[in-house]
Order: sequence, then structure tokens, then C-alpha cells
Amino acid sequence: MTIFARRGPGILLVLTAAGLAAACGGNHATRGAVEAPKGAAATSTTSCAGRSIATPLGQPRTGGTVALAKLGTRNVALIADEDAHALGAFDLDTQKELPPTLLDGAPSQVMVTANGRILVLLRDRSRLQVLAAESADGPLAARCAIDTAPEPVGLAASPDDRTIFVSSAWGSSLTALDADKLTRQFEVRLAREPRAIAISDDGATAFVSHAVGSTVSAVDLRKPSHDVRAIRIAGHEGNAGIERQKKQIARLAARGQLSPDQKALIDKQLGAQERSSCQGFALAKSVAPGGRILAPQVFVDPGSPEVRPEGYGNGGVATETPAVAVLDDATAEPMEASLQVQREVGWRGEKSARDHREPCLLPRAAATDPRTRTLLVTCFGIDDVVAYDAASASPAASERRRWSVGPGPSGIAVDPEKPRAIVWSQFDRSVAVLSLTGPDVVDERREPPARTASVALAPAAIKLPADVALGRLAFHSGGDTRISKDGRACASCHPDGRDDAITWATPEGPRRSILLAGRVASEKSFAWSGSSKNLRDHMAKTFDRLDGTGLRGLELDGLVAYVSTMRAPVDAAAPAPASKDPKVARGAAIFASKESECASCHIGPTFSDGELHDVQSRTDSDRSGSFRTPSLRLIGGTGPYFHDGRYATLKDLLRDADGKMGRTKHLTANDLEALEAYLRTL
Amino acid sequence: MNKPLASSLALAALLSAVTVFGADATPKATPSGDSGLIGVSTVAAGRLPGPPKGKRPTMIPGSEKAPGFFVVKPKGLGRGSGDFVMLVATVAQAKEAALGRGFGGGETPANEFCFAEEQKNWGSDDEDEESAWAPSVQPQATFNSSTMNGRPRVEAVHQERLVQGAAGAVLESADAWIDPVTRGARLIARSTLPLTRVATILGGSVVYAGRDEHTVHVILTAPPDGDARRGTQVFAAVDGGIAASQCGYLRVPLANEKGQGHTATFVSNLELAPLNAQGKPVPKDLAKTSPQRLTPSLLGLPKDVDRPDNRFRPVHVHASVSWASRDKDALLSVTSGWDARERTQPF
Repeated sequence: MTIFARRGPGILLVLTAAGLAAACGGNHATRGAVEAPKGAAATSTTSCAGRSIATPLGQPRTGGTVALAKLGTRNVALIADEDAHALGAFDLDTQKELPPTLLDGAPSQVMVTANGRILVLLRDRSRLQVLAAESADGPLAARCAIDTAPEPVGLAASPDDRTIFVSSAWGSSLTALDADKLTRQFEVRLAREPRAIAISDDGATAFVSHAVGSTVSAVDLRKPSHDVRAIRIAGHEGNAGIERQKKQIARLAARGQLSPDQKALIDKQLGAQERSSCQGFALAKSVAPGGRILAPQVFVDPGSPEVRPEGYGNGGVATETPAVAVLDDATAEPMEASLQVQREVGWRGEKSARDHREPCLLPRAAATDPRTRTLLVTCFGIDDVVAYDAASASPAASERRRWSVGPGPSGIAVDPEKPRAIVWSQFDRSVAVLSLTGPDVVDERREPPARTASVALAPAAIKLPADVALGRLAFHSGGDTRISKDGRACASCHPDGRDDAITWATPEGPRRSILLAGRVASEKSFAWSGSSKNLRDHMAKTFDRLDGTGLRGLELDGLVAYVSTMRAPVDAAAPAPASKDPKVARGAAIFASKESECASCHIGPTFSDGELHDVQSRTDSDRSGSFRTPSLRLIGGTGPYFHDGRYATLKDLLRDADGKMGRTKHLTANDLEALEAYLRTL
Repeated sequence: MNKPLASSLALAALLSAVTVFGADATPKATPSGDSGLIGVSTVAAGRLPGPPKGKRPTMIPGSEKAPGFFVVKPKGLGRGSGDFVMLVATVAQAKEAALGRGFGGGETPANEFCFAEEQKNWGSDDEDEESAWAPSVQPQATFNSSTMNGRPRVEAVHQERLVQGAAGAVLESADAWIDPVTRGARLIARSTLPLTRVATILGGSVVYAGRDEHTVHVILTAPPDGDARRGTQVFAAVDGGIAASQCGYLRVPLANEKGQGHTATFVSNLELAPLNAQGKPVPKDLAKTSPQRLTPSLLGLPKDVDRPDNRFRPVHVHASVSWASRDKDALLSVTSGWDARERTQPF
């Protein structure tokens, strides 16, 4: 007997007896086909306890959109199907789909713990749902659900299996839970957009990747203070000449032959050759050899803020290059070789369509295969899985092979019992099984590689509208000359519909990328200059700046639909409710006050009048000093701020923009905190 | 076949079978920790010193010679070429050079020895800056007696030779001071670096490694494919720079530092077996013995429809030496993969 339950109006709520006993908090989830409603109202329980026969396949101790498990004698892949609001299931040996488990939200990750629990993060509900397998063939039973910080996206377990870790993207935090009781042990604040988690072999450090911000966080798990260290992940050209220069400068400075000012100037010039990194969606632990955390990234050259190129970025060189940072899990230091920007050599620089293979510029998931010492990275955009040498000091330079898979490969898991990897492609809801055997270099015309087995899951009851699904494909399309000449996709600067935290050199001057998700539909004009009156027009200009030929027809319509309907990280559809928090209420009052002048421009449902204003922020390379009032919706998670990213934090902005944009000099430190607290609720 | 043309087409290594450690090319079905990795301490050890430190001679008498280092004024280098001299390794090569042969054309005896020059920022005031051997090696070296830009008159030069045999392989090297003005040469030192066979690539390319105190030297050989071998170019990207060799192999030094790693990527263009219309490989003699083996289309000749297209595919071999904190030993990893899609060149 099966049960399903969903949120939203007009959806049936049906329970079996087992579900009644196990359900909690109104969330009911079980596996099986739809049946007629039994009519019983949902009951809830907060019990997380209960037997589960599921065991993880291998010891991954990390979550993903694919988790391998044993259910009785059956080896299955559990799949976090975000579109269908379901936990899919796939029999690894028969390669057939099993009945899904419907959920009360959009799952972002799933993990099977050592004690048999199946943990599922519901991204849109900010919740951790606990499921259990009570029998090999019966439905999954819902246990408790735990509230999390906004937008949970990453799961991991400690090596002793006693602690569960949850990263929250919009919540910018890492939470530790007791694995047995699921009670909160601690929570630490992190930089923007944390994603994947990997725990060091000794359990001392939690490494957290970030989708933006050139950072991997290292959280000390042993000290009670749980200090967070931001490891800067920045690419450099890796030029032997530059390395000699750096050593020479260090020697000259040590001998006193360089003044501190001279050294600072030279360091600045050498530092200007650094590249930001982003697209840090995944982490993988190297098992053979151990002691390394592998972090797929993309290095970005956004151009110099003092220059106005014809497009976005540097113009003359590859704007984005794939990378895999290698972090020593004992020292939390990156190997310098892994931060070198990979340049193409000789004929490798020829990018004729005939023989060039597109780089992985949208890495999304990663796993290692200890048998072959391979790091497998799934790539949106090109829809490939790329295998690198996991033992290399610079895996990105060591591509071994690649497979084509379905669009939107968001998850991968390596089967420890057989030489294969399971890949989940969200956009076409297919499961691919990759064979990890055989040599990497073969004459493919004489020995064609084995076809990748791919199984499409049955159509889901919940699905994206066709135009939105098409638009999502276009948004993530990499190597598409209609979008850009250099392979960038929309998602390159707007990962997950956010912004990349980067200031780009543009024909108008330096410009920060803008968050899209949850904001676009209500905007009346676009671009910092407000020059585009509709999204279609703005997209056309953007394709032009990226040297793309442009999208037309259904695909352009779809892209507009997708961007317009992107779900906000948190529900920002309604105006911010009056807060019961006195600090926030105080901040709201300050915001609305005549003295602060915030509401003179930041008005309306988007907190923007849509007009151009000169707030004395023009730089030497800006063509104009007037900028469209940006929306303040979701402002708390979009730093750095201003059109050129000059303010790293909201606090910096509120303090330093006084007299140019609004007035804050009269505010006390507490008032400034209150104002910031209010802004973070928008 | 025209060797310079062959080399310019970069008919290089046949590469396959990534990550061949020992003799086993097949990944293990069952994971077993670090199996398949090579600890650097297990790599054969020897000596391969860098350029000498300390005071350099201001001149070498012309009467002073060093075996294997013949400084010759080539005939026909032409007016305006300054005081160029050539460094070669054998008497036969010296005679050829003196007759105006042996560089850029003509019949050249097979070169077993290769040279690398001393590399340094000669104009720098930094006395502590160390020089290194240039990453690229060539069968010959040229020097100019000019001392412009701070370049000294007497320079150190490195010579090496890869000796492969049934019992194993070794890199023999010798370093000497060269005076291009007097054409004198003074031996500095000889050394030997035994090599461990690390990987065998399909087609016959071999990856060797040898170590000295703080460096692992990784060598990729061109395939032993007859006339293609000695002219075969091999490139490598290392430390952000490029190294190249026309000596049938290329050696790349990778520093061995705790907590860090260094990598190099060898790149070459693999010639694949030509296939007939049914997709089967053509007999080797048919592929190789045609008098018009290469591109009759370029010569304006009609295409022989029975002749298969030439097939090439760029391939890379990646070498890494890394030493993370938890590693008991530094690790040497060698893997390879296709660098791009296959290209065909119509015959």
C-alpha cells in the first residue's frame, strides 16, 4: 500500500497505516504507485528512531544527487530528483527503475548513513527528511524531519559516523548534527554559497566548497570554537619566469634592496595576474592516494577594472579555464601546481570545431574511483563526465577520458563492488552507467568504446513546463556559439541563477554580475545602466557582448521563461513581513526614515524605483556615473556590493556610502546593525 | 622519407593504456589502497647535477678539449652571422659541420647525444639567482661569442644520452665549459642516472623515471618506429613553459618537495594505423612503401582512391610528483589521454 503527499493546493494527502505511524510534521513519503486516497488525515511524530535495513554501498560518507545502497540483496541507486520532488530508485544490476518515493519538497542531496537512515535534504523547505527502509521491497517510510538553515544543499558524515554535517547555501552555514539523535551540535557561519562537504580522514577538519568567492572553507571540528579558515583558491599563470621573479623579489626584499612600497607595488602587479575561481559545487576525497581533497573549479579572468573591453572580460585570452584544486587534508593548504592555469600547448591551441574538445566549465559533482585512481567530474553545459588522474598534483592537466551523458549531470557515484559509475542527469531524468574498465587511450575507430548504458526514468507527475525545461537547457548550454564564442554559458556568471561574486570589465566599465533567481520577473528594466527595457533585449545584448550569434524562437522564449521563473533561494515573493524581532523592526524604521533617505530610491515591491541616479560612485573607466537603482530583494546574499563590487560586505557599504548614497553617519553602531539585519530579511 | 618533413608533421609517440605501472595496464577490479602508485623512493637513484655554481672560467684555451664536446665553426653560416659556432658530440658530426652540413638539412648521422644550454637571467643584478639547464634539448647547440646583455663568454653546457637495453635504461650525462671564441672545452663532470621503467605506452613509447637528491626526472621516449624515431618531436608543458626535443626522447625534471607537487604534460601527435574502406588496418607495407606516401594532393597529383587517409590524434602523457602530508613517500603518477579528436589528412 502506498502513500504520497505533496504540498500545494489541490493535492491529495493519503496515508497507509505504516505511514501514519511513521509520519511526522505533515510530511509523508513512501514508495509506490499512486492509489486511491484512504481518507485519513496525516498525523505526525517527531521520532527519528526506527529500524532500517538500508546500508550504504561502500563508505562514501558524502551526499549527492545519487547515493548507492543495499536494500536487502538488491543494490540500488537512490536519486534526488529535484524536478519530480521524489527520491528515485534504480536497480543497479537489472538497470531498471524502481518505484520512487514522493517527497514534500525538492530534494537536493541524499545520503545513506551507517545506521541505515536515508537522509534527504529538501532544498525549498529548508528541511532534512529522514527515511528508512523497513523491508527490501516495501515502501520507504518517513521518519522525522529536521529544520535546517535556509536552502540545505550538502551532506556528509564524520569518519566515525557519529556526526552528520549539513551545508546551507543561502544560509551560508555548516551545521553539525548528532548522527543518532539528529540534535544540533553546533553551527558555524561560512562565506557565501557553500555547497559540498568533505571531512578529512582524521575527522579533524570539514572542508566546504563554495559556488562563488574563490574559497574553500576549512572548519576545525575539534576545537570548541570551530574556527573557520577561508582557503583562497586563486589561479595563477604558473609561468616559470614569474616564479623566478617572485623568488628574486623575496631575496631582494630580504636583503633590503627593495623598499616596502616597491615590494607592495610589484606584489600587486604579480597578484593582478591571479584569477578568481568559482563553480565550486563539488568536492571529492582521494582514497588512493589518501589525504587529499579534490575541488573542481573554474578559474576566471574577468579583465581589468581599469579597461573597457568590447565584451565581458579580458578579450584576448581564454576567460575561463577548468581547474581542480588539490588540498592537503592535514594542513588545509592547496598544492600550488593545482592552482596553475592550464594553457594549451602548440596545436592544442587550435580550437577548430573538428578536433577541439570543450572544457568543463560547469563542474557539478565529483567522485573518485580508487581502483583506477581516477577523479570523475560531471560537467553541465557539455554534458560530459571527465576522468582525471586523482593522484596528480594538477588533475585538470591530466584528462584521461570522457563520456557523454544526458543533459544536466548533477550527480555521480562509484560502485565499490563493480567497476562502474552511476550518473544522474537531471535535465532529461536519465541514469547512465559508465564502465570504468579498459585503457584510456584506444583507437576508437578500430575499438569503439562500449556504449554507455542510459535509462530514462518514467515521466514524473510533477514536471517543468516545456518552455522552462527548454530554457534551462539553454541557460546551461556550454560550448554553444549562439551564447558565446569562448564556451561560457549563462550559468557561468550566474551559477544556480545567482551571481558569481565577480566584477567584470565591460564596455561600460566595471560591472558586478547580478543575482537572477527570484528577481527577474519583477524588474522593469535591466543592466546597471537600465538600458534594456525587457529581458529579451537584455539577453540579445549579452549574447552580443559574449560574441555569440544569439538565440531565437522557442529557445529564446524558453530562456526568458526559465530565467523569469527561477525560484528564489528563499521565498521573496511577498513583501518582507513585519518582523517580531525588535532589531529588524528597528532596522525597518531606520530604512523608512527621512533621515537615512534609503526609501527615497529603494521603494516598491522590489525596493527599486527603476530610475538612474548618480551616487558619486563613478570610476575612471565608467562611461557614465548614473546607475539604475538595484533591487534590494535578496540583498543579504549577493556581496560584494555596488556596480564595481567595491564594498565587500553590507556593513562596509552602510558605513562608507554615507553622503553619496543615503545617510548613515548619524546612526549608532547598534542602528547600523539593525539596518543590516533588516536588509537581510528582504 | 624526408626526416625534417616527418618531424615537422610531428609523427610522434603511439600512446595508449593510461596508467601502466609495472607491467599491468589493467585497473584492478578491487580497490586496494595505494596499489598502482609508485613511491618515489622506489625509483632508481643517481646523479644529474645542475650547472656548476661558483666562479666560472674567463676563458678556455683553444688547445683544451673535452671528449664529446666539439666546438666547430660551420662553413657557410654566412656574413652577418657574427661569431656563431656549433657544438656537436662526435668527430663525424664535427667534420660534417665544418663542411657546411648537419644543420637544417642534408644527411645527418643519427644523434645519440643531446645538448641543453645554461639558462639564466644574465642581465640580473641578483648574484644569488641560480642558473638551470634549459628544458629543451637538441642534437646540436649554437653559441655566439658575443657577450651582450651580460651573457658571459664561457658558458656551461649539458650533454646527455639515453641508453636503453634489455637490462634497463640509463641516462648518461656530461657537463662542460665552452669557450666559443677559442673553441676550447673543459669537462666539468660526468654522471649517470639509472632509470626505472614506469609505464609502457601502446606503440612502444616508454616512460622512465630516475631521481637524484631533490628531483625526479621523467623521460618519455618516441616510439621505436624506424625512421620516425630520431626526428620525432616531443613537447612538454612544464612550470608554465614549454620544452621540446628532437632527440627521440624528452626529459623533464620535477622537484620533489614535501607538501607540494609538480607536473609536466608531454604532448605529441600520434599517427594511427590507416584504415581501408571497411575500417580495417591496411597492411603495413602498403602504408609505408608508396613512393608518394605523403599528400599527393599537395603535389597536385590525383588521389589514389585505394590509399587510405593518414590519421592523427594528439595525445598527452601527464607526469606528476606530489607529496601530501599524509603520504609516507612522494608519489609519481603517470597517466595519458587523448588531447583532442582524431584528424584525418587525405592522402
